Amino acid sequence: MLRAEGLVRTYATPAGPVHALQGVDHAFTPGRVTAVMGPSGSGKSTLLNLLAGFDRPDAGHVRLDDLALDAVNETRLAALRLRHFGFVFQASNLISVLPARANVAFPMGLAGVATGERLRRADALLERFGVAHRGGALPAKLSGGERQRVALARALANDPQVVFADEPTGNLDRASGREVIGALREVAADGRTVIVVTHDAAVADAADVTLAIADGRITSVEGGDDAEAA
Amino acid sequence: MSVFERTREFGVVRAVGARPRFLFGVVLAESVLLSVFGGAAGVLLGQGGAWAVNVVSADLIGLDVAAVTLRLVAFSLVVALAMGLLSGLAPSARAARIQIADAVSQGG
Repeated sequence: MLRAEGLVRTYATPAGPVHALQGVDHAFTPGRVTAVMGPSGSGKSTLLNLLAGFDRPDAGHVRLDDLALDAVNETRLAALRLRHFGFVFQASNLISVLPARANVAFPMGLAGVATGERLRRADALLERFGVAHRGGALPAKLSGGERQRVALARALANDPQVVFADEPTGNLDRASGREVIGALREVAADGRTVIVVTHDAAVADAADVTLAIADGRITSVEGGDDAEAA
Repeated sequence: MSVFERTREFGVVRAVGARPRFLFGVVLAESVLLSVFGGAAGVLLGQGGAWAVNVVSADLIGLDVAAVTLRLVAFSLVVALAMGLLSGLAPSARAARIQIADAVSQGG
């Protein structure tokens, strides 16, 4: 299970310190989609960055099972992201020079999966998200919805415990957004923890748990009967 | 493209689990390859230039005065390799130190 324990993060700016997170505690339950909502500057992206190991807290801990992410070095953190975390970003952020299939296979290559096996698994993941027929296309040739489904396939490449999605429907029309939300729910149904940072009320409606964040603090938790919040 | 122009892509590569030294190696290898290919192209151009000089010199004095020797080729490629390594070190280090959160949120 992924846990945030007393997370504090302050950024130094020319205008003075910005207290992005001021003590956030939460346990993210496997098998559920957790939506993190809040206005711009509320601290939700900072929370995602800390949970994903992109940044380190000034105080508090992020724990994956018993491992504190802040206690490991950058190399081990990279290995942990490779094996245990998957990511979907707002702009999908596929590697522009690689076709969809190679994008999905890329993290498997980093993990040392043999070529034949990673292409077979990439094809299966593209099939799962309904974009197998687009496997040879470069990202620029894909629609927004297709790109996000390829990004979801890539996120699952190494069978992660946790999938993070940062505004995954932000660049999509309503129909494509619904498809991505459905796909995220399927990913959670596999028993994975899905954490979605979003402004999209449709995503929050589809989530099992909704965390509201304001001024660096969790202000409400809805739907999480076994979740803890400070 | 420079490391700066590819910041977002490098951020994504790091986000999905690449170690810093992976990006360091990729950028350095790219720099070395570009330099060595450039060096090889330079040797071919030099070969063509020597041929042209010899056409003229043979006509004027009956002698070939220019030659691209194996030693010269080896020296050129070694210099190209060294230049590739030297010029690639700083961008490789920059790519390896990329801040993932900032990089993936960049536009473009």
